[in-house]
Amino acid sequence: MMTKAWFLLVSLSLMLIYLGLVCRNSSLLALAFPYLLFSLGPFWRKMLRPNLKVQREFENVFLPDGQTCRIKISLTNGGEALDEIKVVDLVPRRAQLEGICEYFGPLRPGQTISLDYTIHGLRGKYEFSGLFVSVGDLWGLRRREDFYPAPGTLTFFPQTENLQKIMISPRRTRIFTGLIKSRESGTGVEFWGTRAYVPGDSLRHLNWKAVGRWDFLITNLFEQERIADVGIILDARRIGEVRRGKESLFEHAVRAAASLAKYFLEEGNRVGLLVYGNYIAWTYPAVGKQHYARIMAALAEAELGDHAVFKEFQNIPTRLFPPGSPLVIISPLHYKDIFPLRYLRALDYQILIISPNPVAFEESLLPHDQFRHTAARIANGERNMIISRLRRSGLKVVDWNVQQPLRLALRTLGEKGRCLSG
Amino acid sequence: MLIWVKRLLAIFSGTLLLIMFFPAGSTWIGIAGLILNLVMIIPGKRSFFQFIPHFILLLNTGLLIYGIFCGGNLLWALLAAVVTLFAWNTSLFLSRWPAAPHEVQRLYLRRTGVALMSGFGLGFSTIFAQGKLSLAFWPTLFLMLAAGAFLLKLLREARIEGK
Repeated sequence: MMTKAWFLLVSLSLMLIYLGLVCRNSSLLALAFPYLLFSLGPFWRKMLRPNLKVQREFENVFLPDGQTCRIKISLTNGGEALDEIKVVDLVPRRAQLEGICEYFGPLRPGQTISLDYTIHGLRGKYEFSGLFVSVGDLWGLRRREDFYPAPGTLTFFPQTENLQKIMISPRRTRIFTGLIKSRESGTGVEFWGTRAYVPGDSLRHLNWKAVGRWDFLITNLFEQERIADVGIILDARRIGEVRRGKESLFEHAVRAAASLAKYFLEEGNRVGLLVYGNYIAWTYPAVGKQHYARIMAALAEAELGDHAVFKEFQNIPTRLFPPGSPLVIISPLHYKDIFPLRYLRALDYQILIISPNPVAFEESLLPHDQFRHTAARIANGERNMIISRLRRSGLKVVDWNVQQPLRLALRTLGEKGRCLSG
Repeated sequence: MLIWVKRLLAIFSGTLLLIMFFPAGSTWIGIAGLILNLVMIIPGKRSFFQFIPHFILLLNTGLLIYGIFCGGNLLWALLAAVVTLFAWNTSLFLSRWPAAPHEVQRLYLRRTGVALMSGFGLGFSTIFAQGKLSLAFWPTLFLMLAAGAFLLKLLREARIEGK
């Protein structure tokens, strides 16, 4: 590829030639020669695609936001000497860099250069495609641009918070033993009730006091503990977002979702995640550490969206969640959400809404003036109305001021009460 | 190192313009050309300064055409053109790579030397062809062959360095 400087040179030489021919002036023709000679200079050498070997190394590919990741790129010249080479690593736009991700200079045969830089972790998935390499001659008249793939993915997943006990008691549980009370008698530790002894019952579970009172054998029953399918719905609609500079309410919601997913998975439950915003990003329920990583990756990719289909909660795909299962919805809440959430409750889902308070969040970021307090009171009034209507419909709502840890907000549910019971 | 080469070339190209215009009777144009060429000496990092070399190249080419129409000497015009081209290209190099290592600067000078010599060779060949110098045939042929051999040597060196 020829540069603009070359085109200028060629234009001048052609102009001189045409002027010399038109005016029939041999001196002008002679004057065109240095220009022509100079413009033909770059063609002295063939400009082949440089034989470069590129290798990208990450210090870590999956790490929590707020941390830093060191990236090292090694570039080895396996071909002929390159007088002037410019190498730029095509870093994702959102990435915050420290260090230099480009090189400009000569590259001898066999020489290796390395680009070493650090990325500051902001939640997200960063896809690295490769390097942009531009090789030119020293005269700056010819240039060859190539792309060298050096793919890599770096994921900064949201930070999590250790939550205290959240008791859930769904109508339906799975058959596998877990920590969720299943509302059925069987093997367990919590007392469930009594019934008449039948041969085969363990004698250890005989209720001797009841036997003394009723004069026939009565045995204790215990509540079975099983695992449940917990659905976490993260509201990623742009309508609920409050952003001031780097502070974003959605980021708090994502962290809450991550903390809850971690908590429920540690309790042995199957956890599914639905990010509801631009499209339906569904992570199928499963258990285990691998699934935790899957959910964290999904949350790392979660982005706000304003798709018309997902403007309201009406289009939540209920088929994804087993009937009667507990749903945890993380949403700032909008007055239009009341009806769809009531509808979900009517479908027999046990719903816990964790609502990051947008009013308190925005108020803390606004400058102090006479109108702020009044505006906050009005907005809080509307919000309280939404929350009280939802609570009256049997939904559990946690009004979470994001300046406080989530575990403090969850305390309002009561420490021993079954906060997610039907 | 290269910055001084650029400055010298700028002064040199302006002086050559003055020399070309002096016998033609348009000395004031030559002086204006010299002053404008000296603008290239001003150091600057703003985008405005990036355009100065291009502007000077266009200006000098225009002045050379005018000088030839005014009856200026072709030899001086050719020399001025060659020097202008190198001043322009050195400025481009420095704007692209302000802190180039000395090795690269030397390599650049060597590469440009090839074209510079060919430009000078062309200029002298023209003057010989015009018969402006009272040289006999054999010394002229010898000088041209020597210049050609030197040129080829430089070209070969540049090519080997490239590999």
